[in-house]
Amino acid sequence: MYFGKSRCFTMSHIATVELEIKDLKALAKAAEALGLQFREGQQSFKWYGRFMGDYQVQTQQLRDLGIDPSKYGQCEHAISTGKPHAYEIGVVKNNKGTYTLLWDFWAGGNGLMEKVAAESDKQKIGIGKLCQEYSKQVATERLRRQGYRVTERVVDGKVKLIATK
Amino acid sequence: MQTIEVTIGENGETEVAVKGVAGADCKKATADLEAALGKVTADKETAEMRLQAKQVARR
Repeated sequence: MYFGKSRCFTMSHIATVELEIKDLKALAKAAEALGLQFREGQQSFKWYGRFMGDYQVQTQQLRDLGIDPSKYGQCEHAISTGKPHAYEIGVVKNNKGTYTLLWDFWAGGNGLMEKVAAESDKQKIGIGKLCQEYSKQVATERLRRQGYRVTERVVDGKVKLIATK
Repeated sequence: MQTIEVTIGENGETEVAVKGVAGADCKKATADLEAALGKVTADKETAEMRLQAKQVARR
C-alpha cells in the first residue's frame, strides 16, 4: 500500500506562514499584552512627520500595497505607548484587504521601539515583538476554538505552542 | 492523539507542524489556522513523513 498522494494520511505536515495582519481584535490584545494602547478609530499616528525620500525598497513595497508616502501619518487605527512624545504605530488597510503596520524607528521612535522590537533586534528597527505576540494571540484563539488545549513555552526567543486534542 | 505544534519566530513568522492527524482532518485542522495567520510560503512533508511513505511503499 502506498499513500504518497494523500499527504495528510496519518502523517506529519509542516507549513511556513508569512504573517499578514487580518484580525484587529488579536492586534489589540497583542498591543495590550506589551503594555501598549490600541486606539480604535485614531486616524493619524505620530512619526517624524516628513518623508525624507529614504528607504527606497520599503517605499516601493508600500506603494505596491497602495500606500503612498504622501499618506504617511494617516491610518485607520493606531497603537500608542500613551507617552506624549513617543511615536506611534499606524494600522493601515492595504489594497490586499489586510492591514499594514507603519512606524518610524528613527531615534528609537522616542521610546516606542524598545516596547515593540525583538530582543535580538539590537538596532531596534523592527516591530518583531509585537508581530510575535500578534501571531501568538491569533494561533491560541483559533486552536482553542477548535477544541485544542494549548500550552506555551519560549525557546531561544521563539514561542512554541503545543496544542493537543 | 492529535498534536499541532506552532513555532512563532521573533518576527511573527510561523511554522505549523501537525502530528498524528488522520485523513482530511489534517487540512481542516491547519487550514483555518494558516489562513488566519497569513500566507503559506512553504508546505512540505516532514522527514518523518517521507520515511513513513517510503517504508510503506516498500512493503
